[in-house]
Amino acid sequence: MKTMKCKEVRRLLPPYVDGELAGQAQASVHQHLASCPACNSAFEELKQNLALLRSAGTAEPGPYFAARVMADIRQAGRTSARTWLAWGRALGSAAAALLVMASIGVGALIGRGLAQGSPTGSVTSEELTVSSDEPAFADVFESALSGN
Amino acid sequence: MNRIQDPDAELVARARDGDTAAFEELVRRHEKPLFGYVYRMCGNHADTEEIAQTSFVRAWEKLAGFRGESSFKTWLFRIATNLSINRRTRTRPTEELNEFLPAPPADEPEQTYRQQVREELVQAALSRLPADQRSALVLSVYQELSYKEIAAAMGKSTRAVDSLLFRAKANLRKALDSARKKGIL
Repeated sequence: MKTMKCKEVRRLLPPYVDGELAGQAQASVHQHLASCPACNSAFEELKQNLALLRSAGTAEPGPYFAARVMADIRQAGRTSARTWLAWGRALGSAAAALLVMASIGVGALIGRGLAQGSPTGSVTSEELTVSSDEPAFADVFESALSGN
Repeated sequence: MNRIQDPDAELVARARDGDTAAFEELVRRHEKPLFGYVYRMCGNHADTEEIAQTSFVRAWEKLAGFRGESSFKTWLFRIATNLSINRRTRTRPTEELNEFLPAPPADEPEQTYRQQVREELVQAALSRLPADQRSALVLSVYQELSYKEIAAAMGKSTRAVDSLLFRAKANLRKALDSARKKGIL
């Protein structure tokens, strides 16, 4: 087995103490520590420092911590759902308005086209106004279907 | 990418489908270790409470993107690590360790006082480490994660974690040596 120098061993002490070394590296450090008081002393000091960290304990969450987290999540969920609902309603209203406008426009165009027997191009607001002497849309539609 | 065996996998799958009860169970499983980790990272209760809570909320929000390439716990700790490191430390790096020590109480037993001193000293020593060294050390010492798990939690390579831990332990030694020489320890 290759003998390690002190400098190499010191570099490997942290992974050695954490149990991260395996095979020959672990065996070489182990063997070196058994025969080198200086490195062994550094190893003991490292273990002591880590033990000091562990002895300090740690903070714990209060009894209602999880409940607060879940309340936050549910609140965020509601906000998010409300936002989607608002968007959905707005989109629905916009779509309905467009549909109504399109129906009126298309209806008027069909009505006028059928009544005058001419192709339709651009339409002015006056053309969209239904006058009393023009046939009602239903009548024109009926007439178109019957072929008269 | 290899999938790992995760004891939380079933709860995670249910939570991903919107089951808040399953996620609440995950919160209860991990609240203590996560809280302890964040406390050691930032050193005060107010920040700990906020960061720990935000970590869980972020985990819930991002759960759809969790692909199971690490354990849920490691992934959760990665969120907390990023939040903790991004939080500006409130400790001045030039402070001496004994500036953190509490005044000796007149009516408390010496053992309690010595424990309090240890707590303060450890927190002060950790606070003086650069955030990434502190994170690696805390995950190793208090969470007992392997270098591979720490690497996953920090988004670094195993080699980088090894180097961080080497430097963290050397810095810790300097700080505690100084405290020993002053007779604080």
